[in-house]
Amino acid sequence: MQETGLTTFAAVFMGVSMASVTALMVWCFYRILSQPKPGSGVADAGPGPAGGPESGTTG
Amino acid sequence: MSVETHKKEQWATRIGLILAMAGNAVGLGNFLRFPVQAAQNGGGTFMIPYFVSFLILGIPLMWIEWTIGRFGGRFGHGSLPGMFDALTDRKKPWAKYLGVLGLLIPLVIFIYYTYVVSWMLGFSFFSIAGDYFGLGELSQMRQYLYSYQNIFDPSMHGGWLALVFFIITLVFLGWILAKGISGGIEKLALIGMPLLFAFAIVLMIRVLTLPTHAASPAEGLNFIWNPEWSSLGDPKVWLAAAGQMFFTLSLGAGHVHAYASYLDKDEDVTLTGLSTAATNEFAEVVLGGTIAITAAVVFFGVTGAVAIAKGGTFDLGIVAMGVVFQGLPGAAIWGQLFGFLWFFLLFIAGITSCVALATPTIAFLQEQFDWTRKKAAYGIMGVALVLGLTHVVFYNVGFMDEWDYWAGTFGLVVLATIEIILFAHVYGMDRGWKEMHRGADIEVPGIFRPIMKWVTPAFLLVLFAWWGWNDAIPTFLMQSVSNPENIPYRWASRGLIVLMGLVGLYLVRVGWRRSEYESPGG
Repeated sequence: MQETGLTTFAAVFMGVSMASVTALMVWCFYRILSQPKPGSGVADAGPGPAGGPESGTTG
Repeated sequence: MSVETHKKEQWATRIGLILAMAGNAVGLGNFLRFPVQAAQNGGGTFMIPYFVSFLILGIPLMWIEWTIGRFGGRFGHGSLPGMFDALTDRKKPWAKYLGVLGLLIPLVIFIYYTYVVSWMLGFSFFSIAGDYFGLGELSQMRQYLYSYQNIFDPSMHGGWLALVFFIITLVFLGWILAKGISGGIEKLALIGMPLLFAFAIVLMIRVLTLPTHAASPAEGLNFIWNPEWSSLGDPKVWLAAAGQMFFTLSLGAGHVHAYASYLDKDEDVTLTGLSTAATNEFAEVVLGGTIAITAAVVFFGVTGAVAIAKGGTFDLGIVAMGVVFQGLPGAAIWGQLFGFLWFFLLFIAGITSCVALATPTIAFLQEQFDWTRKKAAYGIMGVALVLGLTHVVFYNVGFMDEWDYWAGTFGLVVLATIEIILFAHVYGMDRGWKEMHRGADIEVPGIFRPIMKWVTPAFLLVLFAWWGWNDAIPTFLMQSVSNPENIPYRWASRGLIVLMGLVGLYLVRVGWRRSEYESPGG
């Protein structure tokens, strides 16, 4: 590897890879922050370990 | 299970849940294993099998594990024995015993991983104290690390030092875990994850602005990202990418299920699951892909970095980085500070994974034996200390390597294969798909339905076949172990895993009998 700068292919792979995962993360958080679900937050947990079994246990 | 034990356990906020799940996934593998794997397996072209694995292994398994976890939580189960039992409609008595893998694997990994994470705490302290500054050669720094790892080598450290940091880490973990889901684990994530990202971004900027030594930062990036097109036809590269996906997303171990069990039955898992996977990928590809290898190339050149990478993740993350920090301009202040940032970053990344790894066993003891969270948390730390001592004492004979291979590598694929078959073919894809979309914020594209049912299981079975053909016998017979004197210790290491598995089976049996006795109509 004789180059001292970033090669075109390396730049493309790096740029596309980093841009892809960054865009996915930003999109996910945008969706979460822009679509609050009133009344369905995790703090309202009903059954389950957060609120006890729905039916039956291990029997 | 005791309703009283669990009824107040819940995630307080959605962002806290996502950060806790991301903290579970973001670990040492993101910053140390990923860049080494990328550089050794085709550079930029590694990202092609890597992203394919993300789509057909990572994302489907992540959604399935979240769904199984939330489903099990609905019936009061926070660990896989109960979840598998519920998933088979309680009609397959063997299912709960298969679920023991979801206790054994995370506990085994927890014990040795916590010991490794305690090294990072130790090296954070050594950095800020400037203890290794003056050991500017790789060989000197390597001796410094080996002396720490080998308690019988007092050349650089007292034999007790590794044990002290291990105990401090266990006490801290016990304290966090005893505080519960929202009071301990979630708070740790809300503080730790932003700190981790801040440290990583500062280090990334520092590495990318390093002056040229043996090479420039651009050459470091070339080393990781330059494509080798021929590698795309090599099955080993595809397998390496698949393996990295398991490591990085913490799949096939049982702790994603445990965290998801604390969700409400109508709480979204599709968007939240995807968010944690995306956050992990950002930490891995953008941050992890830029720091350690790039710094190593700048200071040691491409040839030197290749040799370091071949030495393993600790040679890169501790030995090489230790020398790098000493070579920074203004090392007496900035080198020590950046050294602290690096090792403490790894400590945070590790500790947020450790709390997740301990969670299935704690949930199991709570639900089957009515233990309080505090009792379960400190009890597990006690077990980890006793069993972890074997790693402290026998690290240099490969004791940890066996646990890492059989639980931390092989076991993940085994459990992932079992869970996806149970989910897609025993519970049924129609019911599974419906369960996944209960309360969903995004609809999973239909293409993932055949992927989950056929492609992912087939991919996993191909992985097994490849392993069976190429590696099974040599690995089992330890043909690659260089020092024959270590073999008895390695067999003892394997024996300990088997013993832990047997204890797990016994506890499931006792726990279920206890439940049947307490609620005969259940």
